[in-house]
Amino acid sequence: MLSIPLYDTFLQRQYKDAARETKRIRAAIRFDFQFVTRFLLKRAVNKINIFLPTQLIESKGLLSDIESKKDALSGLDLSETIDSVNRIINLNISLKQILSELADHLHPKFKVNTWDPILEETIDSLYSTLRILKRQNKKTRIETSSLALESSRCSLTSLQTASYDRRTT
Amino acid sequence: MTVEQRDVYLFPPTHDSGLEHHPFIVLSTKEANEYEGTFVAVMITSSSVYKDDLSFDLKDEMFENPLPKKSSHARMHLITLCIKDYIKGARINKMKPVYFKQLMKSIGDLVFNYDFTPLN
Repeated sequence: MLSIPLYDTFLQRQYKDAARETKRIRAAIRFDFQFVTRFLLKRAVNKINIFLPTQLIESKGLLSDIESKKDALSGLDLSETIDSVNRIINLNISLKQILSELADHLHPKFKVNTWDPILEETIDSLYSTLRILKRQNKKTRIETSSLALESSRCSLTSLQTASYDRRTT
Repeated sequence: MTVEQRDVYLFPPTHDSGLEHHPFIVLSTKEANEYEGTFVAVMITSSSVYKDDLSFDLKDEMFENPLPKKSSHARMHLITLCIKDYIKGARINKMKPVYFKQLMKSIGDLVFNYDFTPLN
């Protein structure tokens, strides 16, 4: 099993890779289809075509490892690892948005291969990893918040109004 | 007004609350919402005080329109029964299906210990 620091190192590297590819594709589409830009865009698209399947395999591997060892993680402080996974998810969501905007304008020879299902699958794996980590994370007891109280009151008022067709509180 | 799953509405606090209006993401289906004029929704907040493992981070890209506040997150355990007539104004946003699926999966897993995978 990978130790928590190793998970964190792995996630840091995965974040760096995703950030680099996102930056590269952003930079390439900033200028509008001049010769140099076309070259940059082609390079960025080629890189992303390699990066996306690699990232998917790594995300699946991480999920599989964490899932098989989840009992050993129970009760540990996983907050940092959770933050790292959240950061990678956010980056992939941004990348998905950039590529969806780019897809409509791309010449067929710059095509990003099946980026949408690959990214969706990657995001799905990362969310699954996140849920396992959150379930196993060390819990701290907190007071009932004003948001929780308010939510409960809203529900009660709605239920009474729906039941009796009038407010009873 | 038809309230649909994934819609985002502002819902008022109760009469004795000092809290401002909060946006809510509608979780229940249109059919269920039309049955008695009620719907089930999860609360969104941007408060960092209440951010923890029961928070589902929200980003602009997850919605049709940008979110009014940065660092917004859904409080997955704060699921509320709302009355359609009390909604403030018109629909303010709609969550994209791919991210709504992840929100429902997270609520199912972390709040109910159930698999909330959609049927279609």
